[in-house]
Amino acid sequence: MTDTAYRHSAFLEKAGLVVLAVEVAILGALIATTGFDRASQGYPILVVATAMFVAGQRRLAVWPPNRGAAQWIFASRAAALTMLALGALAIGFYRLVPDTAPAPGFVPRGLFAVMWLILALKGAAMGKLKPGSAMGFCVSWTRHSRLAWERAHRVLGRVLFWCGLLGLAINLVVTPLVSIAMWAGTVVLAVTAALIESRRAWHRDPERSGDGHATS
Amino acid sequence: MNLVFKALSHPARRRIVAMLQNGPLTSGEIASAFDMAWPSVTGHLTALKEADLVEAERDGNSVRYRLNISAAEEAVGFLLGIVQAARPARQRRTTPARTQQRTKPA
Repeated sequence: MTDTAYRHSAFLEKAGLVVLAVEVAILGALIATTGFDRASQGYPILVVATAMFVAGQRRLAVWPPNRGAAQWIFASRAAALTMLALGALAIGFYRLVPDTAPAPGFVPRGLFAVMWLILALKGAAMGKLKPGSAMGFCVSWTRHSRLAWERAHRVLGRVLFWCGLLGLAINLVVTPLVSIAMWAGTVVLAVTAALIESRRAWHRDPERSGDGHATS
Repeated sequence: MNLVFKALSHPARRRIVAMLQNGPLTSGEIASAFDMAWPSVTGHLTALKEADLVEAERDGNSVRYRLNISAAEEAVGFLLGIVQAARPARQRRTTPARTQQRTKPA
């Protein structure tokens, strides 16, 4: 990992720990003021997601991405952390401050826009990702064939990038529930396309090693 | 990013990128697809390598090139291709008008 990438990674890890501490404090305040039942409505998912983010960042520090992919991956992770922080602050504010008007429509819409942005940034990183990082589309045949690895990540990258940009635009006109359903559908579509394409590439790769079964 | 724009602005280099989509190729295989001198093709490959769009690896006596392009860079290449395809048509439309203006007597 280069010095710049190392600094970005260390910064994201520290920022993740700060966001986690703030979220735990807000959760404590919610339990103290509104009771456990009301505080546990959805909010702990954010805390768990942030804890997973910090754990993932530590894993990336051990197995860092290659130089070409690193900038896009750190950009997508920075966007993810921003979304977690804004989500925690928004929920905390609307539940802790009494007599607050309901959140205006742009708040959830903005959070979902960041989710689509994360998808596009992840897609931009995929084509440059090399084997050996903590990230990547790791199935047995992509580990045994460089061509299958490249094809899988190129298809994954294209679908995530273009659908991410399209989703950013569509997010302006659809409801948040439709937006999240489309987001999940995009991820399923991208993974399915990458699975099919990588398996096809593995079959025609003369330099493949191993039998491509899941047990290997 | 400037290097990426510069590398993808040439149609021959975009064609090399398209050729490498199906898998790695040696420099000889790439050069044989073009009707131009070998040093010119090598120059295009060097430009792509400097922009980190392809990777070169030695394979015996030849050099093999592998694509290393992100979806964002593919999008840049796609847009540059559209812009360059549209440019001649626009020039055809604007050139006669400009010529008339230039030849108009004072």
